[in-house]
Amino acid sequence: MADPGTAARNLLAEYDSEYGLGEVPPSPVEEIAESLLLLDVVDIEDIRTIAGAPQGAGRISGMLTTADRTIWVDRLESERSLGRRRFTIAHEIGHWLLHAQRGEQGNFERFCRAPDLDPGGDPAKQEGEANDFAAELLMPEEIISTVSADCGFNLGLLASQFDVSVPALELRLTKLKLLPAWMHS
Amino acid sequence: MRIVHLADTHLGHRYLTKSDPSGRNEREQDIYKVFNVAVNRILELRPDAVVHAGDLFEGFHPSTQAIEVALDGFERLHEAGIPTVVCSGNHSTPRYRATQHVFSLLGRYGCVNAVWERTEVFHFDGLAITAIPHDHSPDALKEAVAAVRPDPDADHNVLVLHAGSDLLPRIGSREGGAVNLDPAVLEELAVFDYIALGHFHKYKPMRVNACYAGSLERLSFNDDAAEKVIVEVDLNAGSEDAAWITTHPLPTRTVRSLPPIDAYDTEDLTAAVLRVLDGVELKGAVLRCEIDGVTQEAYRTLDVKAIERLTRPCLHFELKPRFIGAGRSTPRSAEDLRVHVAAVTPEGVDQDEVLRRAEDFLDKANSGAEE
Repeated sequence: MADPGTAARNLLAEYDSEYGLGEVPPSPVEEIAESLLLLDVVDIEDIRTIAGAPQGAGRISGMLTTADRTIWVDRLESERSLGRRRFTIAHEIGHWLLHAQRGEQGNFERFCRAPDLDPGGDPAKQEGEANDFAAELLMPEEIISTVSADCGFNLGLLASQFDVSVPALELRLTKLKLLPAWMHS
Repeated sequence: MRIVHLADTHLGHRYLTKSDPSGRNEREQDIYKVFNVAVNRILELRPDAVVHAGDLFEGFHPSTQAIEVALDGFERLHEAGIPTVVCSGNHSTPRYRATQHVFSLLGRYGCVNAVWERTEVFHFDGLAITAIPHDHSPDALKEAVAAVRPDPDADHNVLVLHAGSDLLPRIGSREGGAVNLDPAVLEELAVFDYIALGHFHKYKPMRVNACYAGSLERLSFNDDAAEKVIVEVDLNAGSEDAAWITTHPLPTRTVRSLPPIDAYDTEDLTAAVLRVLDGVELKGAVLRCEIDGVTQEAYRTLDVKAIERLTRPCLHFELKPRFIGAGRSTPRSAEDLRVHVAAVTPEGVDQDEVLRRAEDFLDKANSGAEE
């Protein structure tokens, strides 16, 4: 299995050869899911109401069900932040590629709560791998390391260009050791 | 050359209806207290100048005590030979042209350089401070921003500006008159050595040379800042130098929203609330506990007396239920009231005035209840 970063870069290259990536950022994450991977992206009020969804684990931010090739996204979170929605979709794509082997693993269900989608989480776990994958898919290191310095780490501008939330951007820049120490907040 | 940057002091802000023995609003006093602590800290730091990036006062009709605290603080800085520039934010700016700006008083008697009518530039020994006052018209504010240029003869140029960003989470209630700027604007202003921003209530660097200082106290439960600070900027150091920005934490009251309870997965709500409070420092704290997805029936089973007994040491404790199938509930707290007033006040009606009167009614009701 490729490491999460390589898998994300390969996926962007695959999409580029099939459809043409155009100008990145932002990464066309929903188009990658639907057009290239043939996954449905469905926004839903409460994921726990889906048959088979786990109960007693708190509110669920996103879920991947391979049987019907669907990425379920919590609508409330999506309405609060489109950047958050894009991160959830990218995270579930990570599970699809890294852990469900594009559906070849048989039936695979993965539900993710808000803490699982914390990009600062433990990268050793599958959730951490999916987060690393999502971060590279949305904010490719090669691009972000150049453009972030060029604009003096203008967080608002970068978040807008990459179409991600400011906290996700800050974590990415921090993990890549790009952000000046005093800007960690 | 060092400056201290602070903002969003909101002197006169009343958050709860709790009063001290002399009948003064407790949270209002907290805010005066931390302002005075900030002034003491500045006097210790002895910077070359102080900039305040807006929302000095909570409203444009500040109370006598709010004005007194502000003037006393600025007077102490003035006596220490520390020049101060304060620009008006959306809270301190009247909506009507006929209303005299309270900053006109500060400018005349306050030993402070108060900016409220137009962009002004102040010079202090090689330091040029350009301050853009708030304008309720977004277009006018954007024009003012587009027009500023650094002083080429100054050793250091600082810009002071009160504006928000759509990309940052909203903290507090929807604010009348607030203006958000496109993040690209910061690129146009990158020629300034430092941009002191106000409006966002958490300390937040936005660019290597731009920063929100944040408020000095948590003014709503949405403000989950780990600490409240004033910002010291060493203009002789570059932005890659560790000495460029130093934050100085201030002592504040505990105000926090506890981890929400998901009623969907909870059988015993009272036990869940007590569990959330376990280990939390309660003395003098202002706490909220949200209960998500609860039914009216389940909410009525709460042992309110047990919760009240446990939370008695708090200055304030509230439960915030989000009922299944309900739209926005009726106001249940001071913050809810602010949000509610913002949502229902018709266009053209002075929202601040409606809120002020509503809070006065609540204060009176609270005093009556205590009697």
